[in-house]
Amino acid sequence: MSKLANYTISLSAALMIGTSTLAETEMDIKFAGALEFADDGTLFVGDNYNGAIYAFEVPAEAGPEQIAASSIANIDRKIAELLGVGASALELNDMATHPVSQDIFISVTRIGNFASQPAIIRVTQDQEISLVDLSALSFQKQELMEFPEGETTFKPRGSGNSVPLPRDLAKGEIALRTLAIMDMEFYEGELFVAGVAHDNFLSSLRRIQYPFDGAQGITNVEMYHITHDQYESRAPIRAMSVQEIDGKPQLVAAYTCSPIVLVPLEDIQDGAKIAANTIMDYGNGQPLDMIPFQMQGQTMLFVTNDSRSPQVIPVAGLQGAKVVDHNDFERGGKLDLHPVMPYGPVGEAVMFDGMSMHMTLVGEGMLASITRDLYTGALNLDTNPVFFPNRIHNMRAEFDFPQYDFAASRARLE
Amino acid sequence: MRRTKNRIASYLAVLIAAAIMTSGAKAESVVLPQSASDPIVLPLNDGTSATSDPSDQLQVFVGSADACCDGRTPIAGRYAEVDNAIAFTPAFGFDPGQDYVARAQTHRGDLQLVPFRILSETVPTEARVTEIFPSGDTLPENVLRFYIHFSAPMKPHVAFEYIKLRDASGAVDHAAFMRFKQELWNADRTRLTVLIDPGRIKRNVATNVELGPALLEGQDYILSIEGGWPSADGTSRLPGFSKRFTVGAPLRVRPDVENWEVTSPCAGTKGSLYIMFDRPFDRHLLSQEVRVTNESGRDIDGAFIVGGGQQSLIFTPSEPWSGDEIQIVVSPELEDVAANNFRDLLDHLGSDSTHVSSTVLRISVKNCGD
Repeated sequence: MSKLANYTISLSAALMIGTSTLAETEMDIKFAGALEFADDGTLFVGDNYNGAIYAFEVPAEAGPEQIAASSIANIDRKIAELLGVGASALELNDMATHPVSQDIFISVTRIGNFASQPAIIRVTQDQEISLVDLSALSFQKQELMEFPEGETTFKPRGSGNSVPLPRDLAKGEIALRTLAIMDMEFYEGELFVAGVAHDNFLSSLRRIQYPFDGAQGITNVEMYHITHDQYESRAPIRAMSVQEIDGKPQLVAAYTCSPIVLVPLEDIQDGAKIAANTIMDYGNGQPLDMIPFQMQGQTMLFVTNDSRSPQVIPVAGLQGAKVVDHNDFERGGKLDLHPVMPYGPVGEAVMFDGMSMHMTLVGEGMLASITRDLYTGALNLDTNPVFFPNRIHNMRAEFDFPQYDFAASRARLE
Repeated sequence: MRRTKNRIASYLAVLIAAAIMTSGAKAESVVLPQSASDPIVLPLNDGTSATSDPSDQLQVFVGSADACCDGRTPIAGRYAEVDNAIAFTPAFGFDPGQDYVARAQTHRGDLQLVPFRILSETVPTEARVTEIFPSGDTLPENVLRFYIHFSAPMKPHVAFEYIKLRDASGAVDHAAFMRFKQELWNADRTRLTVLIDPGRIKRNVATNVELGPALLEGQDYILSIEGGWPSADGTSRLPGFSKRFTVGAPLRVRPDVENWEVTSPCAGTKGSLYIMFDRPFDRHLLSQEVRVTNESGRDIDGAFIVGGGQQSLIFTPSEPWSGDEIQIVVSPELEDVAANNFRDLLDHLGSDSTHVSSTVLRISVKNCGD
């Protein structure tokens, strides 16, 4: 084979690489954070760095009718391997389910030697893990107005009166802007975005038309926080869902430490400063996800939290719920053991094996969760039926003894 | 984009040609990437073509080749196929310093594992000792702290395998240094702080009584950093280095600016202010704890140079001197090389608590005429 022939061939190989990476429009996403799917398979991705929402059209074929239970152990390590880094160089930011294919999408940050890069990972119902080629998808980008600056960081505090420990001080390295896009909810052609906004970091709700036409509104939200006994206008909504309550669509929104409030969508108007309707407070902790699901013939909200058991809240209980403010309580913070806590139609705390970092509903009756296993520390992507107690079979109980005889145990009760 | 394409084109052209020319038609080895943006290339046999799924013939994994690759997820990226080569480019490029292993098909059809690594694009700096402070040839018997500066970040947790204090005959004092659980590095790990065990220095403390001081007045010692210490990136090993010094009398009285000698600068000039100390001071505190101010205490902008042996300081103002008087203001936290500061001695013994060391020195600005 002549040397010249080799040059020709290699050049054509190079051209193939070149064209395959060419995108029609410039894709400049810097951070893949909050995820939300519209029913047609449009994937909204919140970019806290660029201050923008990207909407990708993700074509898909219909997924399986029946979702099977599954488990992918060490999902973080597998994604890190896929992206060519060690597991410690990966952050898992959010998770959502494609409404058509039932594929699970995970937004991540790949921490490279010199720069962090965003990536979206797809996990099929056959448990195949792949990198989504964002440059191959058509997309729209909506820049967010009043997006906060990136310099100001959290003010660290210690426990009680003690000085902050190194772990507490680390909070002082985190930009407040990381709270700018906390959760997104798509409802009837509009995207609702919760987070802090303006350069004074006020808790806000954004309301954006989709397809994006540049129209967007921003509303500052204040609420009465029962456990803290104060009005709060900075700490943002962490997780939310739109539900029909008292005859109109309302945002059910969960805050840290952990009030739940209602905001009628009609109140979310550009430039308005509104007071959300506080109806409950289920106790301290940081809410992560709020997932509506059907059980016992009614809609429930499954609310996960980074430091307590998940809460199942029947939406029926929110109808006609009493709206409270500071006049309804004696002064002073309400700790977990205060007799007034938990307050309101909080539903029930339920058993969930391990600590869920991200959760999403798959199909009608399955929950997929990236769960930290207490005993191994592994992060696993588990899909299980919506059932509580969840994965009770993992406990070591009476039923696990080989001598256990169900019939005999029932007979004793006769 | 155009430039990238050209880069890849020329890279592929040269490397595939070279690979095939050197190994003939039976090329079976992968052509490894030389930089982060290069692809890895598998030249195929004459007559063999890429299979429908090129990942059957070439995959790349992070990590070592040990126990590869069952249960491991291959790196995501793009394949480019031509009739006698497969090129794979990872979606995020190759990271310098990361271990990779390629699983590539040989001409016999079986799979071979090829471990590889991309070297950093920056030229690694050869590790060497650049400076040791205090730098003087004669140090007080109770010198506490040594700063060892390196040209490159060093491998941590092995310092005392290499750092030794020897007497003039070369005998090592194994109890000379204070051993902390963590070594005292600066952020980029190019400066290590080493302390003579304070128990050997402080009078009447058990180790001082049992073992005696590590350094004795009138004797010669060698602080040696032995060769072979690897740099943090593993690309070089330190050549040996030693600092020989004579031990003088201990510093047993607190420092006091009244004992310093200062030249008066000329008004209207940018002439330097020379400050001569009565003893060597801590090199790093010197650059933080001394200020030059005007009469009302406002800092005068300028540059400090620490003099030889850390026994002097030279200050050159950015603007010509003005006013009648300037002040040299020293933080009471400034320590001499024996860690005595302006408030107390390291071992708290024999300090006259009624006497407060001065920390402010007032200097007249001279009118030197024309």
